[in-house]
Amino acid sequence: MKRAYDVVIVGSGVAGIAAANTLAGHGLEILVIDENPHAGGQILRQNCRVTDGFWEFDPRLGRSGRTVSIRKIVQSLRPIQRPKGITCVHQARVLGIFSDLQLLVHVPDTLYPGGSGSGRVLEIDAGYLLLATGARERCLPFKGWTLPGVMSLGAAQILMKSSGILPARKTLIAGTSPLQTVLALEILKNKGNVTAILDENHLTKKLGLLPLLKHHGSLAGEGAMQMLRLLIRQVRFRQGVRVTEARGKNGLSAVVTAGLDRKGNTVPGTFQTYPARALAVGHGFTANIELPVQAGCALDYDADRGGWVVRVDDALETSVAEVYAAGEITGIAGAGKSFVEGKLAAVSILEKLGEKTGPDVCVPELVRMQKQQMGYASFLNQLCQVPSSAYEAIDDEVLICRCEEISMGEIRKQISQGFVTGGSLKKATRCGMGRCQGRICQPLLFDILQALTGQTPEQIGSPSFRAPVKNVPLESFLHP
Amino acid sequence: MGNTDTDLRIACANRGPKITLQVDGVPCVAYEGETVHAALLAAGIRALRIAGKTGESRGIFCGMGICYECRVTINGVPDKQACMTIATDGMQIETR
Repeated sequence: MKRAYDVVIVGSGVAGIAAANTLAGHGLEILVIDENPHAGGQILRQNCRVTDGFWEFDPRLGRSGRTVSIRKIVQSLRPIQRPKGITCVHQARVLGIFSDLQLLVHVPDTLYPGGSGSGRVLEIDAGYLLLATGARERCLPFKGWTLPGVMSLGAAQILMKSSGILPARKTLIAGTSPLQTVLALEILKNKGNVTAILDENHLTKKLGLLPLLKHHGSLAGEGAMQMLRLLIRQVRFRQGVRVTEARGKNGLSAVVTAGLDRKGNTVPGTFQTYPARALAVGHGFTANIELPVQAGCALDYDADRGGWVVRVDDALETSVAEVYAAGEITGIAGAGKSFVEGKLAAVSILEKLGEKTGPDVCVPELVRMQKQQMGYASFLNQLCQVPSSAYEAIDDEVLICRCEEISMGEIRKQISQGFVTGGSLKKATRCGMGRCQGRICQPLLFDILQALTGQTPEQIGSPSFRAPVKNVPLESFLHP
Repeated sequence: MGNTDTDLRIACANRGPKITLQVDGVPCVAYEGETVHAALLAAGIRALRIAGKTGESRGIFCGMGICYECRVTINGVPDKQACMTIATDGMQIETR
């Protein structure tokens, strides 16, 4: 493996692959780094299981100028011979980005056989850097959400897509996310059972958000088709209910729900219990901003884009020169935007390098499509958003920080003591200082602070992260 | 529904050759290409570790390398994320 590359791409999801495709063929040395065993990110997981070679989207994808649907993206992906100049390392993690775009990268032992089993940390120089680190799910905590058997909607999909294994014989699905219907259909396709879909959103909220989809007819159509297919399969579908408790000893055995009023408050006397060995639950998405924050990239807070996102200009360059960002980290809007931004960021880098792009690449058209795709973000993130009353209603005994085992009661206590910024509350409680480094609880803590104190995002403050942004055994620094 | 879910492997999925893992000293059938967390779930193992303070069991949560809930010891190396590790024949896995 070389130690210097013209362009380093972090993340090989939709944005990373689209960028690599656009950058290929210009004589550049390109390194793609991904922490997963295979390329594809979350959406293309199943399609990218073969490891040798690389991946390419059909060059015609997105040329019509119309919305790029997830279905089209998945269908147009095809395996190719690894293009000259592209190196792709998997199960590797960028630990930090330092001055002059020096990267510390943790790579697995498979690249250096005979190692300690802890991998190796390498120094890599990047000419340009493209961050395409994607997003993760949010989950509104409830009593028992730490029980084995309670998992994110994505986790249930990943079990099936990557390993061909159902989350359980019967799965209960809940939350606010559009992934609920996607997951239910995937389970049915694989001959599993769905106990019920327990959607927190009332139909009135969903209908009220429909005008936001006016330029996204194909996405609205995809959603409607999914609902229709679930109706035909007679999947039990309840709207306006929230999971309030997961029960079981050492593992999930039952789920308790409550009905919600129009404002999203639980209605007394509406409790219902479902037997369950798997509960898949999700409340939208949050951008993986740890690495860009560590690198010094400025953030913006925008609830319609999923919370804290990386600030970029029209060329997708961040506030740090030569560092670009594409995909979910600039705003949660799904695979279509990731595809367009991956291409756009790559074109911006090629222009900076003085490379001529092909006649089929039209920058103003890409910028227009990027803005159009971003339009879907408002719908998606408003749909997923839970009301602040839901955070106010979390019981004191519920754990917020799963790693450090910090309860809502402890957080309430410290907030009442005056620790009302994200940073001070973290230090007062250790919330966010565990193994996941706040990836699960830090967005929750922010929402809790907003709900309980009524402060602005700027008053609460943006999160900070330091290198190494992922856990790494110190042993992996020891090598000749 | 019984105490454990069996037969969670999807019939129509493409699978690699059969392999054997040692989970807490007990042989466990898996297939090449499966991730460790999925293979354990298919074997009926949901609890992967014990949380230090409360002593609660923890299992798969994010499934994508974010939450660190599924960490187990693999071939003597502690704190490996089961969801980010591909199972290989003879792999020694310790939960708890």
